Amino acid sequence: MDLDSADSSPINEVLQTDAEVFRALKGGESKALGILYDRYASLVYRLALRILANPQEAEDLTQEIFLNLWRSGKYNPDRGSLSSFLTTMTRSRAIDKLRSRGTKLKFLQRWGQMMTAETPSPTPFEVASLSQRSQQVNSALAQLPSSQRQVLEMAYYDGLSQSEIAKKLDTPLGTIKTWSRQGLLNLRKNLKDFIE
Amino acid sequence: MSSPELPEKLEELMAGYVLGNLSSEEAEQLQRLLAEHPEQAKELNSLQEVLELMPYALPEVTLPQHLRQSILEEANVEIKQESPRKQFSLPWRQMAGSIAAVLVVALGWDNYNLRQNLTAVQTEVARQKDVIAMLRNPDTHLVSLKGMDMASAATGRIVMTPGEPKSVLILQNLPVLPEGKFYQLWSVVRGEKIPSGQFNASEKGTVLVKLPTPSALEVTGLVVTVEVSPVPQSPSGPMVMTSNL
Repeated sequence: MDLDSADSSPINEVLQTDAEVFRALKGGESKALGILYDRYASLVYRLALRILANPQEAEDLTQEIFLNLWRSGKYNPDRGSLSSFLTTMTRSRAIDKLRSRGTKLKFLQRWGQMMTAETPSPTPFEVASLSQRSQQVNSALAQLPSSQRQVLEMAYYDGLSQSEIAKKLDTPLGTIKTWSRQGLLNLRKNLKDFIE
Repeated sequence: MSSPELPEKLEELMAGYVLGNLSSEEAEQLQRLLAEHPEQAKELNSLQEVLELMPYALPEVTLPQHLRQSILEEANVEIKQESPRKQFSLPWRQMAGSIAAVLVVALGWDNYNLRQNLTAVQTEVARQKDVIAMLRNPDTHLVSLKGMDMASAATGRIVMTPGEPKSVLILQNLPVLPEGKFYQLWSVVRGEKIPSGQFNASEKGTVLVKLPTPSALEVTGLVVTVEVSPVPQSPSGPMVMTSNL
């Protein structure tokens, strides 16, 4: 597919992988942005709304995230899925906004540069619809012990540090760390067939 | 796996890393284990991916109806006006000369000190190489910063390359701050100031530091303030430099 040519390359909305659609987007096709919006806006908006708890701010952030994708085209498919790129960015921006509201929150560390590049082949997850993905993740979370799930959610959505969580739940810090780490590892185990 | 207990410990540490809850000892331990087992590094990515699946479990909500259209309209307007990237990359060629001059001055002034300390020299050389490599990259942005008030003579630039995690900040004629005070760089995003790194001026009033690249999302300006807190959440001290992107 020659993306530099003036003719707009045909984009198949259903069959193309995210990486392919993203390449078209980088080639300046705004239609590709529409496709990615249809695939991920609901996820980005949900997450923004969950963290910011304000529909207008969630809407603004959703717009910011997609326009940024359009402008900077910074996503690198070798580094991970587009879905996780978008949620990482949404979450970090949303928590940033929370912090700048004056709430004392700790940032979750962004993942470093240490992972190796791998050319991803589509996993069952990648070809699943949004509702299938939601179902899978819901059931994987439901299988976690409630303590592990709760701590993961507090860290992820509220940007709380482990010591803040320990305080809130009146539980020793070491236990909180173990719960969250085991929670994440169990979540991966529960989703293994789906993501690999 | 060279030792039987390794995978479990390493897994736990990697989960802690992704969750941002490693103690400094654990972080060192993880770094060491990863250096011994570089093939495990991809697991970090996989755990991050899993964590980032969490929002799929959030209850479905209806998107605002006009949102799709307003995003696409905005994107199309940008196509017509030519990409902002292009407008941005034009001045860099003209500015490359002046940035080099700033560098020469900054490094020249620091030469005496550099001779005192071999390690420092090596660091500086590495930085210079980085800066030179960055300047060769056509995507590199140069943004000028201008001093004001107590730092009215200060001038300088920040050298940023999209996709590079670090930017280089080069300033001169900055007043040296008393102990306990720091210069703090802020990125202005939608009117809010996001902390983007802290630094001090050398005895000669120069600064040459690498800072995390300000998160590129709609940064409309950069601001330098003087702060007393090593980790300020929002600016509380006087503004001494500004730029417009």
